Amino acid sequence: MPVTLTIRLHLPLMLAFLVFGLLQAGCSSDQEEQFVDVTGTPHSPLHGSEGDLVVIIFSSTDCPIANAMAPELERAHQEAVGQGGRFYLVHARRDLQDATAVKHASEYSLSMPVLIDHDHALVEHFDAKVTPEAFVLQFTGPDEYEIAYTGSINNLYGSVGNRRTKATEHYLREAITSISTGNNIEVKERQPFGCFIEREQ
Amino acid sequence: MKLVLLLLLGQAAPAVEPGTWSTSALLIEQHCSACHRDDGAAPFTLLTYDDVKRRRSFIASVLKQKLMPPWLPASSGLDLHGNRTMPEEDRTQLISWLEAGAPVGTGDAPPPIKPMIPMPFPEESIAVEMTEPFIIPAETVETEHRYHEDTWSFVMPVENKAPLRIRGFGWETTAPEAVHTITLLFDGQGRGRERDKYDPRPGYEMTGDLNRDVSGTNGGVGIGMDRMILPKGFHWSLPANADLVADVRYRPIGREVQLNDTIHLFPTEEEDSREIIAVLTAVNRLKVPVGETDHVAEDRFTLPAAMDVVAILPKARNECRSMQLSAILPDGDTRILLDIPQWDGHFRRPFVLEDVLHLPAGTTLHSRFVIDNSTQNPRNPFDPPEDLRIGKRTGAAAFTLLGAGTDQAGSDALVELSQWTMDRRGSRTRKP
Repeated sequence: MPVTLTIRLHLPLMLAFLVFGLLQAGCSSDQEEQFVDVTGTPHSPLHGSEGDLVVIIFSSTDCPIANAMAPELERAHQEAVGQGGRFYLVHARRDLQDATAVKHASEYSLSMPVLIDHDHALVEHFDAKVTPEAFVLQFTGPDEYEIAYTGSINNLYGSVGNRRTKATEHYLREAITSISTGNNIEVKERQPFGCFIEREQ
Repeated sequence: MKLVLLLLLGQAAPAVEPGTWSTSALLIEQHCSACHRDDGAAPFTLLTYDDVKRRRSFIASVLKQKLMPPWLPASSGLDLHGNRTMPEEDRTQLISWLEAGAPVGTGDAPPPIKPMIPMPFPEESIAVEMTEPFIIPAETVETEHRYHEDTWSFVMPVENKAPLRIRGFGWETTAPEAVHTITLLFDGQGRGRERDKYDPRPGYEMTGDLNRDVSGTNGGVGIGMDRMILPKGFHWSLPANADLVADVRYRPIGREVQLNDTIHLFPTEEEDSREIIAVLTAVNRLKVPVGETDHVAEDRFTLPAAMDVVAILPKARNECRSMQLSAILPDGDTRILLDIPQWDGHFRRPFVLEDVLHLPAGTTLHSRFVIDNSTQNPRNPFDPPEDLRIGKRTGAAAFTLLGAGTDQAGSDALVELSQWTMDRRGSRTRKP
């Protein structure tokens, strides 16, 4: 009982610190886990050295909003890799099979490492809400990073159900370019529109 | 106390008991499964309990926003065939169940949904195929014509040696997730072929309008609608050796898909059937500066003869926020025929009336379109918005009424009116 009471009392405070810490003060990635992609290759997206650039995209194989942005995600991937960065597509569906994710990546011409977040470790870590949702990490020291940009990939969608013919603003790629050129990212957080990530199954 | 807490948290108190999967499955079957099935127009299936449960928050959200099921018209007094309006009690019930965590209930394993599968097309239908496949690109590409949506037209030869009466048609597509609207014109003069020969790619990159004739004069289909059938006693006339010119509107889905569609024509041999005449009430010129949120554009004219209306086809660019078509009857009464409070070109489709609508001679047709060319319009195709300058050939916003006269003299007068309503798009003409 005392434990439960303590958590209840401090949960809002803890969440506030977590969000504030993520967005403002930087993060220390003390997680040890590695994430194995759908081809069996291990990755450590939360680990890096000062100056490293890591892009994490939460996605889904059957979210039409995420899928519509596949060509833009591949361009952003090439941009990040070209700048020496790392780029990960993270499927948020817990029960997704590797074979389904591999087939999806092939159909949509996605060549970045694809992870399946079976236990929602990354979803919870970043408090991801929808697919697609971008998190651009800029490492400030060994295993310490700031979230340089988070939110929508581009302006293809004005909101859920309201899609433009063509995106004219490319927020994710602009963020990657800004980091690589040492420029400031003017807007560091933009509301993402997409399919909701269900936390509980 | 619980109510006070809910209000403090900004949540409405649950209005209905959530129920179980067995009751919710029936609602999903009725309102969602026609599209959310294998080979349906929707991007994912909703056929099993797991399909629904793992998207429950998203489904609840689009239901609350009334984005789903998609149905553009507000209730206007006209009964529309295939009406997908979801009754409020069904919507509330389903949202309640989803927000309660989608409880499965007790008993056996949750049964799957039986999707609403369309009936096969009639055996006597005439299959007309695309002459070569077209690849819908993974995303919209900049093209020579800067349209507000992706449009491509295809010439499909029927190879009919004699004229035919057509009462309807069905659409069989290889790209149900990408194509959202097809409108048709019957072309007995080779005008579509003439356009096609200047474009080396399959089909050609223009709308399906042919000179003054507006695509949709010979019907169309949209999302969740695989066929259009006229009421008994009405037909379209297909000339001998005609082509179908299909105006295909699509939305890229992030990967290339092949389009290799077939149109199935449903002929009729009814002797006393009346030929369909298309009357267009349209705004053919628009000039709306950036930032204008409530630009009203209108058109009105009076029917010189009585018209029996069987279908109405709306169209507009997505800068258009709402549209309304009304009839001012000779006795002064006004009747709203079609009211679309939130226009979305993606869900554009013809609306076939359940009952033929008789409009007496002297009825004034009044169309009204509200344009929002600001950033407040989330469907504005341009971000940031651009000045909207639409020439009169394009037909920026329109309602096409399909119907017939009540006698030969009336039909002749309506044919003359039809030509005038379409000629207005190209040149100055005198009203008949």
